[in-house]
Amino acid sequence: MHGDFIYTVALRLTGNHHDAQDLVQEVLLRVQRGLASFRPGSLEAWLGRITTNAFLDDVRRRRRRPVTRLPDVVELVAPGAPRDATEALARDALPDDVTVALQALPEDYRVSVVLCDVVGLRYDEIADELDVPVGTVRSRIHRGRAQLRRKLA
Amino acid sequence: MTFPSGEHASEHAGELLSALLDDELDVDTAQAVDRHVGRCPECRRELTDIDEARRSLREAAPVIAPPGVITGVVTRRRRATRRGTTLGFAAAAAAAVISLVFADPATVGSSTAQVGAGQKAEQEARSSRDRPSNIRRAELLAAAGNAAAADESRPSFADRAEEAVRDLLEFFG
Repeated sequence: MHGDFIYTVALRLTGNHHDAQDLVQEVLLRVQRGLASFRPGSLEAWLGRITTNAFLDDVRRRRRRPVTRLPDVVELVAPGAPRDATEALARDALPDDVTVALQALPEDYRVSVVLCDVVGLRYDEIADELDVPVGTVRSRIHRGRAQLRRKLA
Repeated sequence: MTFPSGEHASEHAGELLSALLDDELDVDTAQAVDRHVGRCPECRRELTDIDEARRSLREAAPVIAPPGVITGVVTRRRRATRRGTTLGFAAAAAAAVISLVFADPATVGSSTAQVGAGQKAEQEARSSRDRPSNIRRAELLAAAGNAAAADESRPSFADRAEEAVRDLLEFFG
């Protein structure tokens, strides 16, 4: 199911359900606008690229206008009944270990690792996507995995 | 790339270990890295660690999107379409496709109903004073990305739209 795929990529990139949900909404709008640009091929690769680009656009936007957001942990333990079932579910679902460990990586490493190991792109495809040399991609993926291993150990 | 380079015969494989696991090395380099790992305990250990990190991501089950995350957009879109405001049939068609692609398997069976809703939206759009503009048609045709949809000889816009939806569904099949 492709919705879960997008959501998984979004969660791995953003690290929390709240931001992942926002990212999914943006991705679905972009998918709708981009239907015409889809060419037969890997649908997941296409969706993964759109998700990553939307994420990076958001990161750049935040860098220009930094906003302070309380960490999700605060929301998760905040008192008060959730407004609806969806919200309750999102609150109950703590990010898994992999998602938490990914958040500890520098963003450059995280994006490359997610594109490689979650979306399934090849190094040259990731290099094209991020506009960096293949050697840089290889190095980011390797360092990212090494750090991830230490976090998960 | 050669490994190890002549004057640094003692160097470790480093990031080539990830490239090895990802099948991103040429045959010669892959064999050289393999040989090195065979006689270098440090690189062997690193290869195991990297492999574990790699598999922890690749083998992790997809996270199930909480209900409403995917369908929320589609529902809002359809409501807007029914109001006959800013969204034309192209949006309805795209929404139908998106809901088919992303919705729960349980709701996928209602594709006919969704196409029907699209037709209704298109009829409403036609009955309103502003006929579907050329821009809307262009959107639809672009969305279909298919010569069949551009066939001007077909009798009704609704027919062509339905065909466009089928084309999109095939795209995503």
